Amino acid sequence: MFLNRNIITAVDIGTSKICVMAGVPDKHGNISIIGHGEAPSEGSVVKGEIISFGTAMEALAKAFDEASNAADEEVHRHRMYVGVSASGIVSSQHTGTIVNQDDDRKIKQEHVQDALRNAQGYATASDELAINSCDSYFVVDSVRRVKNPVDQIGSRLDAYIHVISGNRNRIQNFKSLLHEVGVEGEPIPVFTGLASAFGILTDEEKDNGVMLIEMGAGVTEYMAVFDSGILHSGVIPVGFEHVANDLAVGLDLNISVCRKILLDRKYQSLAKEGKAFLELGGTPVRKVPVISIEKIVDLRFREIFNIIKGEFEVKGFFRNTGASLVFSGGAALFPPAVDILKEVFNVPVRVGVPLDLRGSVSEIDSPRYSTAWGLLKYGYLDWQVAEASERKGILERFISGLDGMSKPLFKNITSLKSSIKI
Amino acid sequence: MTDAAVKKKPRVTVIGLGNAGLKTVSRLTQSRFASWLNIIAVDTDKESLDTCFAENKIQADPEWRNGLGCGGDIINGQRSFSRERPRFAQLISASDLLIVTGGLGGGVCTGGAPIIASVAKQHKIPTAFIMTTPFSFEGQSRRKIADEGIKELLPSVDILLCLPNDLLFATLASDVPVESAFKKADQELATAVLGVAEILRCGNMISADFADFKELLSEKKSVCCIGSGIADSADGLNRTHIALERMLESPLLGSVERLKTADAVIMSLTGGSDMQIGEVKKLLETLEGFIGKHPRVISGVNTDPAYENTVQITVITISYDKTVESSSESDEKPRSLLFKKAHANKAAKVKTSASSAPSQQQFEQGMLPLQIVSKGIFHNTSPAKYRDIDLDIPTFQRESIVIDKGT
Repeated sequence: MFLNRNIITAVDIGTSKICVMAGVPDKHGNISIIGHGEAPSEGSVVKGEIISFGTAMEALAKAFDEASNAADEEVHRHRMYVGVSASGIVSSQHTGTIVNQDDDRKIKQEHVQDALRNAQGYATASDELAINSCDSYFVVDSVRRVKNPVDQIGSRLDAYIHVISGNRNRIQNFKSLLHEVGVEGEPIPVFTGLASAFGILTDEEKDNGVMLIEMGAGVTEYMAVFDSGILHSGVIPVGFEHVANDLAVGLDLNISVCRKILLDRKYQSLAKEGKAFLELGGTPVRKVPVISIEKIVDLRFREIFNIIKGEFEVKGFFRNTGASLVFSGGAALFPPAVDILKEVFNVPVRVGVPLDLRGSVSEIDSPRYSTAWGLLKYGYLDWQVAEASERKGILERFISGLDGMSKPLFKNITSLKSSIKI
Repeated sequence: MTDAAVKKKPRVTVIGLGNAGLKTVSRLTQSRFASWLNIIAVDTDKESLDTCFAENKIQADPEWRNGLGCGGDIINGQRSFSRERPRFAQLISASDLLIVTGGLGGGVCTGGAPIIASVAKQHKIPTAFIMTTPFSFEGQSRRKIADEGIKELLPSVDILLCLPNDLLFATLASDVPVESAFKKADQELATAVLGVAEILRCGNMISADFADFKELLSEKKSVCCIGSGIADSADGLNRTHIALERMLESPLLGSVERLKTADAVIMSLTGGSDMQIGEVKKLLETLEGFIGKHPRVISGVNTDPAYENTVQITVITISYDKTVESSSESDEKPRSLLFKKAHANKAAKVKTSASSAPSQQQFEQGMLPLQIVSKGIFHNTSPAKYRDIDLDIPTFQRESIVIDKGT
């Protein structure tokens, strides 16, 4: 009886916390949260990689229990989406071409699907596993770049897709952790940057062009979206923990003291008042110059943002006008990071929070939950597509071709004919 | 019909830091063209403050430094100035523009300049730093301190002009008495500061304003030269030509060749109400002839009642720093063995290991400084690699920036 409810579970295994969210579709057709649980990772995940299985399992089990209690359901029995990140994630663009030989030269939905299917025919290295593939854009007649080529007149259609792939073994790590905790079925891996994009970007931003930077405790993901297509994405294995570590090394302090300094930001109010030293209790009492803290923090953030900016520039993303920047993740709650980001990029910056939150939510509208919420939203869309394809007749499936179609990132469900999986 | 919209006179503050800075602002106070500037002299050394002519004098950090200088130590300079932050905030908060001048290499200026830069940034005041770099005969260590100062200042100021001191005496004959040589140097610097202040004034006819300046100079390390020339009606009808000649002869400009080989040139012409359009035209055209096609040019023209009967022309040439600094090569070699300097994102500063022999033959095997490269909590994890850079190592360590740990 319970298992008939269409529950979707999202699991975000991060460096600072492990978070589980469960949701069901409501009567308006949106996903709404029924349960949420989380537990601190306590050092079991470092830079996005699981290094201590035992501790991670305990935290995950705790999170699952909390979510199950809140939802009155056993959330680990259902369709599950897990966010994967960390180094080893690479993104690449591939294209597929079809020639339109119809008399009226009108591009139809089948042509689009054929082109997308051709785009999927690329070789992958044996240790790589493609996690997500999404539309980038379409080019008609090698000249015109369009978002939706259906009903355009053209003889040739190139479909560009953006594929995110990761190391097979590392992804298996995430899945096996879930299996150890007692999850049945196959959890579906999703790149956390993509999930955040789903969770916090507005439609207007996706159309006009937006850069997304999600900075958590362990890693920083970035993604460039334009005209509802993804142009570039990637991961830098540096996060907020690195800032705390820099402080610990630079000032000879304990790492937990440094984390506290960053969290309560007392040094900022001292700087405003004009005091030069931050006093830390203990034996012996330490007086740390505020300017040193500011310097270390500034250097580290500036370096990370400059690296990401370099990545965007290499791919030519800055040429698209109207691009703004959305900053999310735990580090977005740290105001100096936002200021430095504004200086480095010189574009309008917004702190991204989960959009369209529904359900039993409290305190979830913080940037820390953008990945988990995004996973839920993505999972819902994915599940709808899977359901739609299952209901199709065999003949239609045979005609339209079922396997290997790229998932349009933000398109209407009715135009979808098959699912994304690779 | 009178001009209803009267442009507000901008409030420009000029701060002189340290020994060299004090001398410059001292000179500046004595010039009649500088009456609209708010000039402040800041130092920890009480004696040098006493001999300075500025109207406002600030002795920084009297309790700890006891009226003495900082002894060429950046950390001392930083500490002293950090303590005075609220005072600086009070001084400069009402300004529209802040110009800071001093000689990098000393303790007060190199340590204090970044502090002032950060106070100005907090109050969102645009800043222009006109710093001189030490003479070559002052030695390697001062040069190194100056370079560190430049590195510190680059990200926090809007405009940074580095003037090499060596240029000051390049055009003087060797039999000129020492005192008058240094006096001339101070005068040149003061004129240079004045020239920059003129360029940055609002209300210009053809405006070369702060945003142009900032776009050229922010975040890029560059070597700049300033040439400044003044002529008045007493010099005859050809005064613009004479001003131009004087400008080209100014020692800080280096040589006329600089104009052609620079990456960018900013020029500004200021005169009184009697300046004629024909003069302006001729002057700007002649300058264009000198500059040529290669550099990017920004020009500005301004009139001011104080400049009655006089014409002043200032030219700043900017060459971005892309080359190896041969004077510091022999010094950098042992350090480069220990850390790879990753300058992927700053302006291109290519460091090649010295293949040319250093100017002084030193056959002593010095001790390599032991620098502990520490990763802290990440020492047992697989390194976070980005294009051959290990990002786990703290950024300040990779950039070799000194951090004051306090007590």
